[in-house]
Amino acid sequence: MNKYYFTHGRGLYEFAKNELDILALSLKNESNFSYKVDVCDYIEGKLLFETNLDLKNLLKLTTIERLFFSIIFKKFDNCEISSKTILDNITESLDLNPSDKRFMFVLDNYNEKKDEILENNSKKFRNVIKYRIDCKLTGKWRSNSDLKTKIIDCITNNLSQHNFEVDLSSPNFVISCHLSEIALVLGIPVTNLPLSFRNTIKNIGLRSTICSAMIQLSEILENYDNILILDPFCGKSTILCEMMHQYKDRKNIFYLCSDCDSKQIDFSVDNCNAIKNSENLISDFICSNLFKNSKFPFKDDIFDLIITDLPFGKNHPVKFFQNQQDFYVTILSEFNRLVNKSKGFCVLLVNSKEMSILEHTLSQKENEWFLISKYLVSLGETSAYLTKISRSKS
Amino acid sequence: MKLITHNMLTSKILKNVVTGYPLKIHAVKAELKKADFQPDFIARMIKKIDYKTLYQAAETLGYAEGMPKTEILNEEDMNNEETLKKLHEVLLEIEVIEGDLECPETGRKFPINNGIPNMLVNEEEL
Repeated sequence: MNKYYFTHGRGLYEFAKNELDILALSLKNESNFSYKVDVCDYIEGKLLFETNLDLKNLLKLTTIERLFFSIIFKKFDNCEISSKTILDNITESLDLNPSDKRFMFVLDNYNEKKDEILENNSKKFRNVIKYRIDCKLTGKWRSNSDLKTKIIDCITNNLSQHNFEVDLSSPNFVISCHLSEIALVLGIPVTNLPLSFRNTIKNIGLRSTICSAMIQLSEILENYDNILILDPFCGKSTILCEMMHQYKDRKNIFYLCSDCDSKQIDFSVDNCNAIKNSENLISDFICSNLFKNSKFPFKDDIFDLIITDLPFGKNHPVKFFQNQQDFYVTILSEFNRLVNKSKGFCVLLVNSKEMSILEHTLSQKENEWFLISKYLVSLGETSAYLTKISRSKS
Repeated sequence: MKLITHNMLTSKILKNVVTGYPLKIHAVKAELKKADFQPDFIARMIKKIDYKTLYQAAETLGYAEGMPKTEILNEEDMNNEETLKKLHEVLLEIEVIEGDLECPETGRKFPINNGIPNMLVNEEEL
């Protein structure tokens, strides 16, 4: 069992934890080997866990930001912890052995020139391994530059015993240290780039982790009856691309993307063409718009699922609507017409400022949708609710 | 535009249009793009689509040969692999790249450029 922690975007804890459990379960089912994931600790944005899953599989996680080998994950019981205790903690725990297999894997994943570096493992031990320290102090420690220097010195002193050398420009790995009022966390990011960075998606519209959480909420993987999917405000179709990226083996889906902006559709087509194995998911694109009380150009009752990032802010199709209320009334009525009456539902990303309008619209007499779940997530500068609506309350 | 998409599209959005279905296809350029054949998917999909419309669309494009000439498919057709393969080609592999879609009631044309149908409408048309 190895200890790792991951970082996740605000609001994505449930999704990340769930994905980890699903991963362990699916591998267990495939191999009959008993894979375990034990959650050990949690501080906001970081989850510490112990597992016998190998890194190759952990790197498949799609809702997390970064994955780290955990060296120290220490929550403070009281806030009066001293600088000395912190430095003692680092000295005690920092036993980084360069022959550790896990550590080799970091080098393997971390470096773009990994082939060069790993050309000869034995040679590597003779070489100096270069590293950099990312040290962040927050809360009451924020301006304590003296402590920051001491922490860096402490790490450097400990590592110099193992032929490790500081190199800021081209390190072979990074040590990440975060000291806050509630915890001291020290680890090594397993990959150079965040896992959330998917180089498969050419033109990014929406964060990949958010797309992944939406896909998780839509239960597409578990439900093989869902075969016709509509994204009526697809933008650059990052949700579709994320789906293509994740479910290479899942083939029975037809995914239709629509947007009122033909330039966005061009980006969508470009994105899809750039993904290898794009034939795994069959998709098509159209350009269409919506006005107050108007309709999308589709027949009734055909889609199993609508999954979309509802436009807002500068992307809001205000030119087609007088106000947001009209927009929500129109789309809910249209979604009701388009989505399969028996079991269809919608997964929507709603700007947090507009959530009250959606909830107000849902409370109206003529509305047939119920709010099943909502999760507040961060989109960087703004925040939004990941929302699921259905026509039955269960 | 694939024919499965055409099968879903209507011009009922336009003022005074009662059904607006099916849209007539005028294809200037169509291509066949290979996709993996998944019999289960086609068998389930076919229950959701309007077969008569699919047949007519395939006929317009010159691909109807080999399709059962009927209004509704029977169980036997849906279990026949050769038929499913043909339906797979028609539904998912044929793409109209250039041309237009015409509203059967008003004659309003929706252009298809680079494979993307432009169904944008003006407020005055609603």
